[in-house]
Amino acid sequence: MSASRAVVTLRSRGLRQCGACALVLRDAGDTPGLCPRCGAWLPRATRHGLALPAALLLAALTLYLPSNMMPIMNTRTGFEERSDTILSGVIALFDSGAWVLALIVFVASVMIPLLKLGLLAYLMLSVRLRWAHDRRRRTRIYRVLEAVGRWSMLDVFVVGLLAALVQLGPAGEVQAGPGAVAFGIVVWLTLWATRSFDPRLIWDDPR
Amino acid sequence: MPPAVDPPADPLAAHTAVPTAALLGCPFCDALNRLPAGIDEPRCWRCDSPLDAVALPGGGALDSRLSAVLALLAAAWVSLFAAHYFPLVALELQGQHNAVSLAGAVATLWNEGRQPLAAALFVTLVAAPLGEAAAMLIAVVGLHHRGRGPTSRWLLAALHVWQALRHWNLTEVLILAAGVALVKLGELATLVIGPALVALMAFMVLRLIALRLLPPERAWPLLEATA
Repeated sequence: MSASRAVVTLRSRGLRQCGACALVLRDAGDTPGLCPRCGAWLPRATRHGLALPAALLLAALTLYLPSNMMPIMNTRTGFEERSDTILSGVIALFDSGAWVLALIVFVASVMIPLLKLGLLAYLMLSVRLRWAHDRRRRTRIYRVLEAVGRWSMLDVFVVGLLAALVQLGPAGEVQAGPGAVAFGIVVWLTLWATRSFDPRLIWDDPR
Repeated sequence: MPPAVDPPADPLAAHTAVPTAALLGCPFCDALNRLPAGIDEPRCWRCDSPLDAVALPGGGALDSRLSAVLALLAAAWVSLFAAHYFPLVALELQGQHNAVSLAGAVATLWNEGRQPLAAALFVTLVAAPLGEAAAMLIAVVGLHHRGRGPTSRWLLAALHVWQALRHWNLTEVLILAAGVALVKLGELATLVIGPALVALMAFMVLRLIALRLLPPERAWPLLEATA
């Protein structure tokens, strides 16, 4: 498997594939054009490097900590007033005895974003260092990252639902905090970073 | 090694390397895969990733599959209407009552001055599901009638929209979020699950089955099967 010199790829054969309908095309993509089957725009074939995903990842990393310190939700009832960050929301759920749900929220809101940031950085580093080992495993990691990222929007939706619903004037009110939008942007940046990373780079020939 | 096949006499032949979808590049590692016809859920020989874009088995099985997807989509649309007509969740606290629908929740957030949050919810929970379901319906009806004349622009557009919107639809995340909200409010007030939430669950399940029977990637090869 490591003798990738013999491996037949689209690129080694001078073929390319339509990004939308996956039709294998004879031309190597020197000129832009339209896919003959689905009509999708085929830009000039370029190999995307790590610049865009790295920039998006850095942006997400920068915003990650502030988004976790800002309150995502402010709750006011007749007798108490509290504001929650993501982590304090998880702890409150845990304290109320709903530890299964607390675990789900913890995985979706804390673990998945952190794992995404860490593993995406790991994948980019491995491409940069031209590692030849564990390529199958790294490809699988990428597929898992692509699949689970959306669940991080969970907390943003919880806040959205509660803030829209709990509008009872003096009896109780829930307001969305700045952390909800900041965290939503972090999630969106990591989703975009994952999509912009080209997993084929993992399989490029080592030096 | 890819076979050196003489191009058959069809309009795409000048551009394609081989007839139909016998050759497929892996979207994850670029390796060329040669796929025998009728194989279900193939994986890339090099990186073990699923190859989604493989052609569906043709013939009568295909027609009954399209009919099944059409039936599922009809049911999904009924659920989607119910999901927008009825309240999603309702709240009771000290004799006060408040209920919101999906679009109502978005509007409330917008009016509260939470426009970015409202926009995110609108795109992923209202616009994307509706747009995707509409595109799926148009695409499947179009595929049902394919082969009668040239492929219509509508069918191509619907398939492209479907494929593009699929990842923006976060209905299943909302359903879990409603569950979390239910427990979070449990101590303060009584949260009542509205009919729309049940309808939304039905929509999610029907959509997932329809997507499993006919992923958009597998719809494209059908366009040339009858050409």
